Amino acid sequence: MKFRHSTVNVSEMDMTPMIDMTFQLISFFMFVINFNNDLTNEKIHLPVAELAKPVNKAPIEPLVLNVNRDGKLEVIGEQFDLRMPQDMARVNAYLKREAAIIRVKMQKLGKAAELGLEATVIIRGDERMQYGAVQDLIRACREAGFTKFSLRANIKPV
Amino acid sequence: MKIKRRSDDTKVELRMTPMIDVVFQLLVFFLFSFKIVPTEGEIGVNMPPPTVGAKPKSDEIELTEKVRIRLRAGDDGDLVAISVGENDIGDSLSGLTQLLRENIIGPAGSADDAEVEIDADRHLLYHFIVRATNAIQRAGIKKINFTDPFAPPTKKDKPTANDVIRRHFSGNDMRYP
Repeated sequence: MKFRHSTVNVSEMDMTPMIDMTFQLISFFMFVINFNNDLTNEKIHLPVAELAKPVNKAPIEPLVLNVNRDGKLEVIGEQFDLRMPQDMARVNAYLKREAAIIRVKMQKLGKAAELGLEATVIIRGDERMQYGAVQDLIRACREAGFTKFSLRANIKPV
Repeated sequence: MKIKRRSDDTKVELRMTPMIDVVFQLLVFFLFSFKIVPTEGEIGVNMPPPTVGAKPKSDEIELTEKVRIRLRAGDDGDLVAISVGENDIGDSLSGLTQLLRENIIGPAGSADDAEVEIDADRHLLYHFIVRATNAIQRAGIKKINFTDPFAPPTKKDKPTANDVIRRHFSGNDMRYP
């Protein structure tokens, strides 16, 4: 059987509404995207506190410390067990290094070089970890020169 | 003057395909990087750096009367007992809120400048600390401290209740190291 095409009919889709929509979507997702939370660890279940102050503006040069439920400090590429003395020595070294980096950054920003004045240590602790881990961590941070701490909690249950 | 219209009206057409390709790539990227983050709140803690060998400034300490809240943990890390000062009040955090709301008045006569210090067992689970802080805040108290377990002058293994009170008034805590 033979089909005969008398006229070659090029049918074209009207793309304009689709492109409109797509651009709308892109701009929505662009505005919504948030790179501030890069340092947070999703595996950590924060405790819930309804009266915790909402974090409105990000602190200047924060140091984010994630502590998982086993009381291990998780930093990029490394894990320190806060219950082990030999690991605590490494934590101290790590914090001193970070403190030095933050000092340099602050000087570049023209802020006071004092860590205690501006830099905040954000402690994101898992709800199931033992309190002693936080105590040890805060102590180590204070020895490294940090004085401002922010314990993070979810305002609403997840 | 008359403008002559061109007879052969050539239709200029944009090539949409590459643009749509790229736009879809972008869309997919933003879609995948989209995640809903629950709102995080913070509990701010300010601690001056530890000064080695410094003695507490006694004048300052006497002015601030801190309420000591002791949180005891069971073997599995659960909260088993709360005591305010020397009084045990069971293990209910709402009871703590109520007690503080009714009884705590700061040095200047209002709950706003009352100061509370949390002393918790090391193996207490962290969420109890946060919940206790929340319960204290609910009573209208804003100044909340945590005791420093490594404060220098406590040499004894287990401080007695009197030591605790004495330590409390000698200002051996995190804010006055």
